[in-house]
Amino acid sequence: MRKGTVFIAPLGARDKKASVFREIISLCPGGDYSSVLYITPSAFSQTEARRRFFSYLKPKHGKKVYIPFQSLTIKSLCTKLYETHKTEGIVPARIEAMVLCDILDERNIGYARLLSDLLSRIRHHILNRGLSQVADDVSSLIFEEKTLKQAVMAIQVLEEYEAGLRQRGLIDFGGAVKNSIPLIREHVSPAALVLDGFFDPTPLELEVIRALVEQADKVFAVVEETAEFLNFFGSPNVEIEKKRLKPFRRGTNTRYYAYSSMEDEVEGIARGVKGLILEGVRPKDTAVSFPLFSKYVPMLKRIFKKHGIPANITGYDLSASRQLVALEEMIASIEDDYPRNEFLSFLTSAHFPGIPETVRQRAVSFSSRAGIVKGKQAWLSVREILLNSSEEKLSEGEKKVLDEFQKQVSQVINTLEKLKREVNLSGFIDNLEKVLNKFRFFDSPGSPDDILGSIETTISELRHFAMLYSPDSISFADFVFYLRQMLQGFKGSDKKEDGVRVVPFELAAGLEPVELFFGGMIENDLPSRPPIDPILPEKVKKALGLPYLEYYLDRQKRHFQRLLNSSASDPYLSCPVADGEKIFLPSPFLDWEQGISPAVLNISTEEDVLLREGAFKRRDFSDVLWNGKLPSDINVKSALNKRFGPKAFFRVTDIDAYRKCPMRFYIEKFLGLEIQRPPEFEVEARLWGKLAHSTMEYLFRDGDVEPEDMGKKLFDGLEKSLREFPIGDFWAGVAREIFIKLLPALKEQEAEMRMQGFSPFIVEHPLKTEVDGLKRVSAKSRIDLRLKGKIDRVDIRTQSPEHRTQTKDKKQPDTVRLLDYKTGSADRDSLQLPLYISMWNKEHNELAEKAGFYSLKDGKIDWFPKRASMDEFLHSALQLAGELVEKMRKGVFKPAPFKDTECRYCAHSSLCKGVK
Amino acid sequence: MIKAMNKYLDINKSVMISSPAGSGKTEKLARRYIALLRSGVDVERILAITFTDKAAAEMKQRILRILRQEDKELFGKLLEKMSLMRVSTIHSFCGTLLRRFSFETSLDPNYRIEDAIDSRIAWDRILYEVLMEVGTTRSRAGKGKAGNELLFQSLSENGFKGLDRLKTTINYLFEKNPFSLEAGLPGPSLASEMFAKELADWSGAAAAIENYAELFRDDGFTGLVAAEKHFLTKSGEPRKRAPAYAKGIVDYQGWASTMFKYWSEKSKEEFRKRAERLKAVFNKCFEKYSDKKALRGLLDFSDLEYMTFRLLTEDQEWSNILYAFDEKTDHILVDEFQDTNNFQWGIIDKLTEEWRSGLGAKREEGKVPTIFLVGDEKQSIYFFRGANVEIFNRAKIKLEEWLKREFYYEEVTENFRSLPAIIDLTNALFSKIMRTVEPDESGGEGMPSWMTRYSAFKACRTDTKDAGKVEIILLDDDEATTAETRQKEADVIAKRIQGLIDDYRITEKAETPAGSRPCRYMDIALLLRKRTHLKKYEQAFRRYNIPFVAVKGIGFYQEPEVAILRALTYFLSNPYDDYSLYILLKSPFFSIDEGSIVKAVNSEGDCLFSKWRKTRDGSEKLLDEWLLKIQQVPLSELIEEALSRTKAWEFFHEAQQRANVKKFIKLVEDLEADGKSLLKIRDFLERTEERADEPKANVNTEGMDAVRIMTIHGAKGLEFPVVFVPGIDEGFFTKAGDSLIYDTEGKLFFKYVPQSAVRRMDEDFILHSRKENEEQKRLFYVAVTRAEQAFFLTGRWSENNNSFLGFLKQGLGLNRVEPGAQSTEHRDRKTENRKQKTKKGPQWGTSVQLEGLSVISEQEIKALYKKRPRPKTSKAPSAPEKFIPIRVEKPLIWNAVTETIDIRRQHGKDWAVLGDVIHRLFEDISNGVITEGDMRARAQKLLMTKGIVNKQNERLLSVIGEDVSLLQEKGIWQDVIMPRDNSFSELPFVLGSGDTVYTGRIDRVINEDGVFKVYDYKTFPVDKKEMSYLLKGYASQLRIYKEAVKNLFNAEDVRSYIIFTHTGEIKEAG
Repeated sequence: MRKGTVFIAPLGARDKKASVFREIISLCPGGDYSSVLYITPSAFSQTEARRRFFSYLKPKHGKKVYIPFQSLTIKSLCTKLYETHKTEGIVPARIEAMVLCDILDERNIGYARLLSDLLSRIRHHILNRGLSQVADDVSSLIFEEKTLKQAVMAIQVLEEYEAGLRQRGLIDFGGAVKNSIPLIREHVSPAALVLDGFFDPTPLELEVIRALVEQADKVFAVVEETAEFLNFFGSPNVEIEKKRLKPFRRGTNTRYYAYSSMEDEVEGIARGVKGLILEGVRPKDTAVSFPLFSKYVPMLKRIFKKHGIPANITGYDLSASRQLVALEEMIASIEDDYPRNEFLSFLTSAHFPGIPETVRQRAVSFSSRAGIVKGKQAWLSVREILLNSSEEKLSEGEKKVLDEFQKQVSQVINTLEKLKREVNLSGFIDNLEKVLNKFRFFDSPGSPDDILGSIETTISELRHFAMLYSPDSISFADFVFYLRQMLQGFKGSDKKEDGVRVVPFELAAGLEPVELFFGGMIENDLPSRPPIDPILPEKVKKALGLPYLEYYLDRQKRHFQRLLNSSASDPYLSCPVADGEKIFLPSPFLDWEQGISPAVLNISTEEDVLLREGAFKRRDFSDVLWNGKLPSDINVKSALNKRFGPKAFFRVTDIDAYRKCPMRFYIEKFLGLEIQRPPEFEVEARLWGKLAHSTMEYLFRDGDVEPEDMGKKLFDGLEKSLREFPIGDFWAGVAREIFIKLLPALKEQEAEMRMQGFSPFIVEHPLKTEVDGLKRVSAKSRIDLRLKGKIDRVDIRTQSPEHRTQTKDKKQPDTVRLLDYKTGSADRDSLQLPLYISMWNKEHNELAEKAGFYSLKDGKIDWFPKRASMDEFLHSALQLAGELVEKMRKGVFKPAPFKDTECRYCAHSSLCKGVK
Repeated sequence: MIKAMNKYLDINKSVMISSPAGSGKTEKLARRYIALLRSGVDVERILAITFTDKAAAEMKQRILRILRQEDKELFGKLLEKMSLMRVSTIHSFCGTLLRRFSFETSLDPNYRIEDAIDSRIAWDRILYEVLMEVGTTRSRAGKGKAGNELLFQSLSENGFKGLDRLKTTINYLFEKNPFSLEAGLPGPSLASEMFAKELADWSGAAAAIENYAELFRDDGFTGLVAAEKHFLTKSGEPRKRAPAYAKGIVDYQGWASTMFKYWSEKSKEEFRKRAERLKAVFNKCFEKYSDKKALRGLLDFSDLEYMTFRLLTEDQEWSNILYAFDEKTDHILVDEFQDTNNFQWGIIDKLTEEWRSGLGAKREEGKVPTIFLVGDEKQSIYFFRGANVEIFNRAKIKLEEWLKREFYYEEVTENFRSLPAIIDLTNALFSKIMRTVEPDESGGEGMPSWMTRYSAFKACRTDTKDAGKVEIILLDDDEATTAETRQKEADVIAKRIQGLIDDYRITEKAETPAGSRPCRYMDIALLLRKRTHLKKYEQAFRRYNIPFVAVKGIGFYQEPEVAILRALTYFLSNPYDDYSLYILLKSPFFSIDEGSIVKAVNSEGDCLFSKWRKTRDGSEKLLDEWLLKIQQVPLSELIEEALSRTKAWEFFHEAQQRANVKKFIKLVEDLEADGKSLLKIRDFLERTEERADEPKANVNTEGMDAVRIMTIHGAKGLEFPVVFVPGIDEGFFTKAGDSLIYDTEGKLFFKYVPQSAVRRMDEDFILHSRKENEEQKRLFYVAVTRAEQAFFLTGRWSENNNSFLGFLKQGLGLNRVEPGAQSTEHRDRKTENRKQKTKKGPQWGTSVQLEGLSVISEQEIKALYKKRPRPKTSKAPSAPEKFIPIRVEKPLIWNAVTETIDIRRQHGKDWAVLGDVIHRLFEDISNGVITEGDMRARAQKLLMTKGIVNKQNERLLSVIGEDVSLLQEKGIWQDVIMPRDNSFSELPFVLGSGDTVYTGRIDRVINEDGVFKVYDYKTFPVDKKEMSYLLKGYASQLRIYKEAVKNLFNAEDVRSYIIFTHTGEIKEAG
């Protein structure tokens, strides 16, 4: 009696699984298929087989309940057998590279991964020779000394690894598969064995299959006609009947659509898919694939969603999943001393529901206002910094929130800091779990791909590694290194069913869709070259029987042939010809003579509809943006009146700000909206300005100081100011240093002023007055200017040295000089000085002699007026100020900057019509 | 000519071709490649190097295209081996080499190239750390080290901005590529001593100047600072008049001048020390930065060349590496050789070292390895990126010297692109402003090798008798501001273009004389030196109804649609970002009127969003919805959804806007795919906000009848029938800034001179500036040679010669002709006639006589202008189509029947693990796989595979032991767990019910005389009070089990039980 049947599937054969299912059902009529062992090459094909079996069984046999067959991959079968019948533990594949890295005694995980990969290839392809024999073979094949040394050393590391495992009662995965073969012979005897989906099993897999075939009562297999695997069933000791399935269609056409970009290509595919669905093709009967799958998946998800196409995506990369990213940000926060973006990403992540709500909501805003760049200490000082540096006083409510925020952030940091306080890997892992539990990471919103489960498994595997290899004492950096390695390479699949099947290239040929779209067929992606192998030269690999370059290229070509024949209809092949600045050439597998332009399908997205609608209506969004004219509604009038009405006082600095750019003034001063910039240093120019002004105020607060006494007074003032505006050690040091360097110049300047007969009289003098005498050039009416401001310093002419200590009360009626301190560059066109002079003149009924910007960078004073007379200087300033105020009152906030340079660094310039 | 062409195809000779614009450079390279293939060279043994990915793709395309047309058989063979073709950028080649020899470089062979912005973020962070560290060290220690001195020096000179200045300088070193780390410092000068001696003896100076002797104190900078006020003006120049107190000094001007020289020299010494400190800080940052990258297996783009160079020149194993390379490669071809930098040439030079020696294994085998270099030094326009035009000549001289008869050099002079007028202009102009003698490496009598060499073109187009035209259009506008001039110029160009359309005849390029056709907009290109005034040209084109497209236009991040999407991103990342919300509300997403915003701003609330929420106009709900959604949905998807949902798409229908929006979405999508969180995307966008060089999204311009506007750099490699170059009067801005990395004889040096007066006199800064000016000549050459038929230059007449206009004056003798003056200069007759007809304006002429060249004024353009209506779009926008949703059938749901209550959350991870282990143990006991005696060892192993070891393992083992004892005590062990006839353990099932397929495993099923008992084990600790709640919770699970068992075994009586293993209780359920 024959032992079973091999269904030989020529390219283009369909319903291949049905042939096997028929056999299974006839073998187990009762609905208990548990005696059937169904072996597939991958977990994907395992699920596929189970689901296809249900779909086959239900309509044909009316069964709604059954005991399913055992479906396993070779890997899961061997693991199961090994775990049950052997005492050695199998080393999780994920930690193999880490163990090798440990043996190499260097942090070259990439090289360790290459070694791990080499070991797996040796296990699978070189069956009857141990590692030391392989090393001998290599020695005879390589002549170049250095290359030989490297190759032999690599194998020696593997030998060391193997010996180390043996010593610990462990085995690597490839070794376990190999050792499972006797276990199969001993413990496995299925009534029926099904082999489905194998295209080109490795020699080791063939050995496992051989053992299974020997043990099984019946064997049913579906094998491709051109596959080398078919030869296996031709051997005399395997008596199996062979049946050739009929090809449905023979696909050789490699005509393809050439799209202008990747996005256009995916759009084209989506439109094609949707067109078919609207014609009646079920979504699940359509498959979409790409040679470089990960490159396309995010775009495909987005575009399919836009078209409303349901999709089931298999085998996508999870390294950018939100949960994993959140975890990485948490680790990076601790590792790099709480850098702004990483820590904020952690604090605001939805995947740490245990983070207090106030922190989650306010972290970005508070830290940005406080200028936090990084540093635990900086985060613990957010409250302090904000209270000291805010231009406006914080409201009580805001202070309360800030208090709560600071308390909670401190708690979060304390929790995270505990993670560092360990010495061994197990301890770090325990702490990591505690921290994750504390912030309820595993309670975070789940995702269909069960990434949280994978992370949990990873942590278990890391424990395994800790148990096996970790030294007694490691640093936090080591722990992070290990953890990061473990958190790589996760793949996910959508659990829901019935959507368009979106699968990687290597899985696509196993499907039997009605329609297949295969995109992204560009040179270098199909065929792709395997990564460069710095261990073994290609010719050596070939001689050893290991896969080599041409093997991979040939494999892809064969796989592409399968793909061409996997769908009922001709597949839709496509490639992009460019993407941005990149130019792509079509895959050499395509017929270059047959590149065709994609057909225009009458399938619209909402986006298309709206774009056409917009073009039809000639929609122009520049009208939507602000053109500088306020509407004359009651809200606007009331706000303008409140702020700029006849009774309102104008800050002198506001008039200057309006002059610089009315629109920016409108946004920042009228609406009070701050254009946020990423902080570069905790102490910004504004705070430095405050500190410097406060120091200079203290210097002359009580009257004049002799230049020789200035040093002490200045530094006393600085220390007091530093206490008032604490800015941390670094910045305090910087401030001291700046004043140390500035002092000689200050002394010189002060001495010169005294030589000229002037000395400080009052400081930080507030002015609030209505200026008269202003006339506009062309208008008859006068404009009253109600102004307010603060003069940094007023110096008075002293007749003789004894008058130099006058106080405000004892002031002689005399000429004064007004000074405005500047920590940055002064704006020579500013109206500040003439307006202050006018205000002083009005309020004190005396004339100021001149006014100047006093630089706290170099101690020099830039005096005004320059060439013009004082009258001209004041008149033109008052005239301009009057015009500006009138415009403000009318609500004119046109983007008309005073100078082109105002726009150069203006964050609003992209949206501003006034850019010159 | 044919003979010459054949020579470069001689595959036994190395070849260098100087192939100017329009002479078919890439074609030659492709032909050489094909010649190698035809001679039997294996495709893998040819390495072809380009400078961009695009060029690599184009080269492959060209090779394959030629073969497809000329040699189908070879084409087929090459296609088969296409993936083995080694046509790549130099960076990609270096990357491959580094991976191959990763062991030698201790590199992670799987290294990744870090994105430029990510590199910058990492660098900025390290620089911040180092600076903070330096500062804090100082304040603690009280005394400074090299770095501290520098930091505080900078701070004291520039206040808090000093930190920014310092950052700028160190960042300059970083931007000039990290290998500037190795740049040396120029040696000290001895001149200062000489000047000091002269000055110290200056008669009368000591009497007039207080502490005169102190000026020469060698204490760093103090003396110099004190000296400044005595002899320098504010701008740092030597004073011409003495200050009052020094009036008595004899020959003050001479004194000041010598003093200035002394001061400059002393300053240089001081700056040299600072440069050393800067380098020290940079080195510290760079070291940290490199360590960080190594830890993450990352490399910078710039690392590739540098590391390869070091690998080949310094690594102990370099000979092995060369051997390995040599074993695989017989021929190297390099395209655009004029753009090579020192490292690139160093790499190529090293790789071919042995080939040139006439020795080596290849030669012994009878093979002649070759190198083929093709380029045009006149088109070297990437000096600012490090390209060194001198290499072109150096390579030629060396190859000639080394290879002698095995080397062939060809200077192509044929031009197949342009008509004679343009060729004549090119020859007349560039033979004057470039050099025509051979370079002199030694710096002897000839000109230095960085100066560009010019050989005259030969016009080779035979398809038309038209001579072509060159027009210089000049504006006389002394009083106008630059902005006004550019505005006027844009109008002039627009008018001139409208004058050409339909009237000017274009001859399509062909082998034989072909007919001509009227000029269309698509024939015209406007080439800009820089894009500062791009908007002005665009606006003018709109005013004059000229369709245009900004090709390869940059400034993507400054586009309003991008700013709007950025605002959306910012708001989503921080709802307290009031400004972004303001933009968002105003934008097409909501189109809220200003009045409503003013009202909201003036209401109560802690931020604009909280105030806006009170308006309840619907937008606030949507914003809240997006804020919630962004926690789960990718930003790219959310943006698309928002654009549709709010109908904002309607406003972005213009092709460029739409493409920009799409580009933004793709950009965000790529960032997300790279694992960037929303905050990091925000960071990225903040950092790129001011980056002006990002190209706008590509819009397919093929077939579009529109004028192309692009930069001259962007136009390299392209050609157009009609070319306009505006702004010829615009002065060249050479490198500003305190620092300079410069190259002297292949070695890099770093100079830091913060004093502009000293910098202006510094020979290296001067030389650098001259090289930059030389590059402007080449840029001009590239612009001129883009034109096929007609070339127009526009600008304002100016006396400033540091411009393209200056080149024209120098090269063509372009000058102003005074009205009435008898001019011997050539003037085009037509222009003369036209001039008489138009309003009299200024006149210009040239000293050289060129056919087709005319110089006209803006007034004359009016006569040439033809008002034209806006061209009709090919299709009026059609009525919108409709979006048809897909009606999805209710999907079949596969439901794994698992526990409905999350054990981990309720009871912690240990209980979840324990549950799994207990189930495995009970299954093995029930199936007779293990006995009670094997249980402990089995459990221990299972726990270990879950990562439970040591004490924790012991603890859980004892829990298992206690549970088993309890079950034994209560008889459950014997009745249920132990092996039984007619029983199943972990029974799998599939049950279809309606639209759901249930799958699962039933812990235990026992058939007792036709009564099927279904057992489910619950292994976590249970309180008696929660028992009834739990039974309810698990009822549906047990119901499915019962249903499955009932149908599987045709059983009428099925009962279900839950066994609480930790409390030893059994309860009937369902």
